[in-house]
Amino acid sequence: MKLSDKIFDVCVVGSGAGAGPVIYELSKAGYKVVVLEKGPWYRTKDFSKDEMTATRRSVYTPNLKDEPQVIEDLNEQGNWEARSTYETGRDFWNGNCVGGSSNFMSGYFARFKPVDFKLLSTYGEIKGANIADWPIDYYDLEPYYEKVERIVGISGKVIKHRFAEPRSTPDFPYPPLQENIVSKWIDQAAKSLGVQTIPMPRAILSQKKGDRNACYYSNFCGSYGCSSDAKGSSRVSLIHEALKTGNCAVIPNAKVYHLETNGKFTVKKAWYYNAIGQKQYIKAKIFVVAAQAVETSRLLLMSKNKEFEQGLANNNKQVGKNLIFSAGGVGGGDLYYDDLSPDIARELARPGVFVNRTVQDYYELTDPDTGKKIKGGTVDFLFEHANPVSKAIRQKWNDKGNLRYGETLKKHLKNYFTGLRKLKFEIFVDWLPTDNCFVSLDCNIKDKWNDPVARIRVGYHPHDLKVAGIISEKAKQILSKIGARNVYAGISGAPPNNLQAGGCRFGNDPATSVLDKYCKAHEVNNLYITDGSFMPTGGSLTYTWTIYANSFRVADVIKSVL
Amino acid sequence: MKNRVPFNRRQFIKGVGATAVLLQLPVWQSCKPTIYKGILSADNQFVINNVLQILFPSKPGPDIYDIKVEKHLNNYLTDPLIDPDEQQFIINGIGWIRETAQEKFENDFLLLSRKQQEKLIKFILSKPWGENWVSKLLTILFEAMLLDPVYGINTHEIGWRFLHHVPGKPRPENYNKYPEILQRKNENIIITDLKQL
Repeated sequence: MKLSDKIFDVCVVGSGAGAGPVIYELSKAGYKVVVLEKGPWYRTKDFSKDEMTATRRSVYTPNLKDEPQVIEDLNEQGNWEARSTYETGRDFWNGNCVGGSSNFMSGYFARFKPVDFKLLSTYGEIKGANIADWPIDYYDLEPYYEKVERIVGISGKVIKHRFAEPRSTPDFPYPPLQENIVSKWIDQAAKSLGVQTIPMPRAILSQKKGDRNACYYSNFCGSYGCSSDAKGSSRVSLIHEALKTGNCAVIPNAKVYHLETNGKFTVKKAWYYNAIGQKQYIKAKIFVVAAQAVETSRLLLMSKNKEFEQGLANNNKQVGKNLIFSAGGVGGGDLYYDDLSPDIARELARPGVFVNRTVQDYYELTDPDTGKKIKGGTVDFLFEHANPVSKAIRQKWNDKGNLRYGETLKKHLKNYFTGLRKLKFEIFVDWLPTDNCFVSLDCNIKDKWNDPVARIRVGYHPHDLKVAGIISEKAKQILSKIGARNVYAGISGAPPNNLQAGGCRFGNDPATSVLDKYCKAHEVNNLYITDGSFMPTGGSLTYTWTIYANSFRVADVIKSVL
Repeated sequence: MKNRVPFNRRQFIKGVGATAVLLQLPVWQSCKPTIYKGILSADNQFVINNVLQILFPSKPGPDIYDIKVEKHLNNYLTDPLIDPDEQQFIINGIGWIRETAQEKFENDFLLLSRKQQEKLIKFILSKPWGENWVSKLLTILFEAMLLDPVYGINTHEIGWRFLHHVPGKPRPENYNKYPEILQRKNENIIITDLKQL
C-alpha cells in the first residue's frame, strides 16, 4: 500500500516540543500517527561538541539563501522597514530537525503562574496592547505540567516562595543538577538584599531514566544536541518512545506547504516536498500543526482553499496576529580570579556544573509612575556560554567601539579567557501582544521551493522596556553584591528568535481568536495547533514547559474525539 | 541559539567605489584578485598573509601558521554554506587594500614595508568597508584558532592551549563533522522503528 493511499488517524506537522506529546500520547493509545518533519533526523551519535556545526554554519537551520524570512523593524524615521534575513544575516530559524529546537534548548523550565492565565482581569488593559485572558486556568494545565516533569524529565527542588505555583506533587521527580560555587554566592548576595533565590528547574536528567543517561556536565548544553540524552528533547523523551509502539512513522526532510480542505471545512491532505523535492501528500482524519509560531502561521496563510480564501482558519483574519516573544533584556558582570584565593578561583572556573538560579520576587511590581500594581518578570542567572569562537568575537571591539587587533587583541583575549568568568542574567517580562507584532506572507521573496516566505513585524510595547528596566536595576545590585566588576545591563525590545509564541491565539470568541479552548481551529473541523501559537499572552518566563504541557492536554482532547 | 555576528550585505560595498565594483568597471580590473580553483593567487595570498600577520602577530601565543589560517581561509572561500557575497567581499577587500596602497603610497602592497602596511591597515579601519573587512578576517582567524583540530586547523590544539580552553566531549569525528553531517539533509526515508537509526 502506498503511503498516499493510507488514511492515518493523525498527521502531525513538526516534531518539536509542541508536537512530541501528541505523537507520544496518540501512538501509545494505539492510533496510527504520521509525522512530517521539515528537517533531517539527527541521531544522538550525530551530535558532538563542535562549535563549527552547532553555531558557526547553518547546519541545524536552513541556509538563509534557500529559505530567507523577512523582518520588519521600525527604522530611525519611525517607519516599518522590511529586510530579508538573507540580506541582514539576522537568522530567525531554530532547530530544523526531528525534535526541533528542543534538541538545542538549554532547558530552563518554568511553569506559568495562575496570574499568567488572567493577565487582563488581574491588571487591566494597557493602551496599545491586545491583552486577553486565557480560556483555561492554571488548574486546567497543572496535571500536564506534572506529566512533563515525569515523562520529559525535569530536575529541580521545590522552594516555598511568594509566587510559587500550586502543585499536585510535593517535589520534582529528579533532584537538582550539580551547581557551581557561584550559586551560593548569588543566594547570599540576594538574601542580604532581602531577595529570595530559587533553584532553576531544568529539563535535564540528573539521574538515568530508561534508555536515557544522566547529564555528564559537558559544559556545552544550549545550542548543542545532547550526547547522553539527558536533555528532554521531544526526540529522545517522546518520539523515541512513540516509535517503540509500532504505531508511529516519521518522515524527515518533509516540508509541508499546503493543507488541503474538502470544501466542507475539513482538512483532507497535507502536501509536502520530500527530500528530493517531489510533491507528496498524506491523508489523515485529524491534522495537528506544530511548526513553531512563525512557520505555523505561515503554513495556514499559504493554505488558501475555496472556503478559506485568506488562508486556512483565517476567515476572521486572526492568523498571524499577536505574535509574542519571551524576552526583556540581558546583563552581566565579570568575576576576576585575581579577586579570589586560588582554591576558590578554581571552583569558580570549574566547567560544566550549572548556575541554576532564578529570582521571581519581581513577578509583581509597583509602577513608579502611577503607584499601581503591574505585572513584573523574572531574572535567570547563568554563565557566559563557553563557545570559544563566539566568546572571542565578542571581544573584537574595545569600549570605544574600535576593532582590537595585533598584540593588543591577543593580550586582551588571553586576559579575558584566563582571568575572569562572566556571570550573566536574562530578564523575562510579558511581551505584550500588539498590532505591531505579527506574521504575514511576503509578496516578493520566495524560498527555494518558490513559496512566499514569512514576513515578521517585530514591534514591541514600551511597557515591556519599562518593566525590564526596573528588574535589571535589581539584578545588577545582586551582581555588584557578589563582587562582580563591569556590571552592565541592556534592555531591549529585540525579539529572541528561539522563544516565539502567539499568532494563532486561543479563546472563546472566533472573531478575536483562531483556536478554541481545546486548540482546535474555530473554523476547521479537524485542525489542531499545539506549538506556542495558542498563547494569547506569554507569562514572564520561558515557554517550553507550557508548550509541552498544553500539547499533552490537547492530546487527551484528540483521544476523546477519535 | 545563534551566536553569529549579523552582517549587513550593504556593507560589502566599498563606499564611493560601489558602483564601479558592481558594474566591474575597468578602473578596478587592474588589481582585481582572482581565485584559482578555490585558492588565492600567490600574490593575493601574500597580501592577505601580511594583513593577517599584522592583525595576529606571532607573540604572544600562536602565529597564523600555527593555527593554519591560510587553510581555513581557503576552506571559507570555497564553503558552499558561506554566502557567496561574503566570500566575494573577502576577495574584493584584497583588491581594495591594494588599490588603497597605490593611492596612499603609490606602490603595490606587495612592495610596502611592514611599517607602511601597518599604517595602511590603520587607515582602512577608518573606512566602513575596511572596518568590516578586517572584522571578517578576525572572525576567520578566531575560527582557525578555536575550532576543533578535526578541521585541520588549531594544530595540536595550540589555540585552545593559549587561551586555556577546555573542549567539550564528545569531540567531532570525521563522520559527524561539518560538512559530512549535512548528508542527513538529503535522506529520503520513512522511520518507523528505532532500529533504522
